[in-house]
Amino acid sequence: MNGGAGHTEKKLRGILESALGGIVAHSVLITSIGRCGVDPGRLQPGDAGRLLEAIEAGTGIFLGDPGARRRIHDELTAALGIEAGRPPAAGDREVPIRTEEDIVIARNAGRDMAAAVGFQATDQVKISTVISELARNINKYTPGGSVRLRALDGNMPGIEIVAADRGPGIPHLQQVMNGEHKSKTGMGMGLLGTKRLMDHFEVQTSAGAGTTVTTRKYRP
Amino acid sequence: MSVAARIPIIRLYGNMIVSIQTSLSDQVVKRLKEDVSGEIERTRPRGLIIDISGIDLMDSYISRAIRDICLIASIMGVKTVLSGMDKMIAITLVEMGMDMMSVRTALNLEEALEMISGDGDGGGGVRE
Repeated sequence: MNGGAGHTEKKLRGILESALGGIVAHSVLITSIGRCGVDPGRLQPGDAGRLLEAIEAGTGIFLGDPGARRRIHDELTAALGIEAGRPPAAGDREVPIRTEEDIVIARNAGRDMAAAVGFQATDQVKISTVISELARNINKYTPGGSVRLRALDGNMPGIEIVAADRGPGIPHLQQVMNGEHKSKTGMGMGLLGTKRLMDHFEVQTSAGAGTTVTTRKYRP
Repeated sequence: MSVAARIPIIRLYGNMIVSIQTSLSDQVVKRLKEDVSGEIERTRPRGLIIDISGIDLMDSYISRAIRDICLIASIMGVKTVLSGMDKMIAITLVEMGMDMMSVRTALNLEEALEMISGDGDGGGGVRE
């Protein structure tokens, strides 16, 4: 917002360069800015979160080490002026799923929300694994869809994940859920595994009209 | 959009080490299968270690892809060890019902190296 145009961008570039090296840092930054259409020199409310998410989707491809990711997350948050200690994706979120990169965006958003809701680290991994499964099914088997994330409060705090697509539907859902269907790509395992990891699980599917999977996990 | 990353194959004392650090896309998986099996045929390594300590999440697709690569190397006759699985991923995979028992595993890279250079239980690496 202040400090003149280019100031924030310079800071972001510095952080990325120290973690990824010059060339990769440059391409991640340019791609992220292009992807979310946010000008780091003129941040509007809400922009910082979107830009952060786009950059993290890019760095996630190159940074395997969770420690390194956390470090870079903290530095980026500070540079973008996002309040520390408050994960950027705490509200309800909808992530469109069209490409393999969207799978990474969705599961990172899920992990952030799970952390904000107060889930422990292992449960955060389970939740982002589930999101990865559901988003991957959308990406692999349908022309597109979305993953909606909702923080549940009240008596039973937790997280709800709704994965919806406009694909062909799942013709042999019963066999899949009984563990009798074996696919080469592992889809059966994904839905069954999702059910086992979560507290609530339901699938609505019909030929030609698409599939909606609704699943919840409650905080212990 | 993203660069189709190629996972490097490191050679060390006649062994092959593959350290997976990126999130695996279809393309990367396909290429890695080709690269690993091609390298095995070309250089006849004593052992292969797939190190996944840099991975912070494995869904069923990624687990299956990694397991497949281990099995491909094993049935080609190379002692293969998967090393460095994060504890939270291990818990998640077991609760999901994902079966990785056909793959030999080690806590970390160092132990994996000891396994492939130490014991003389022949190639393969599949534990019954």
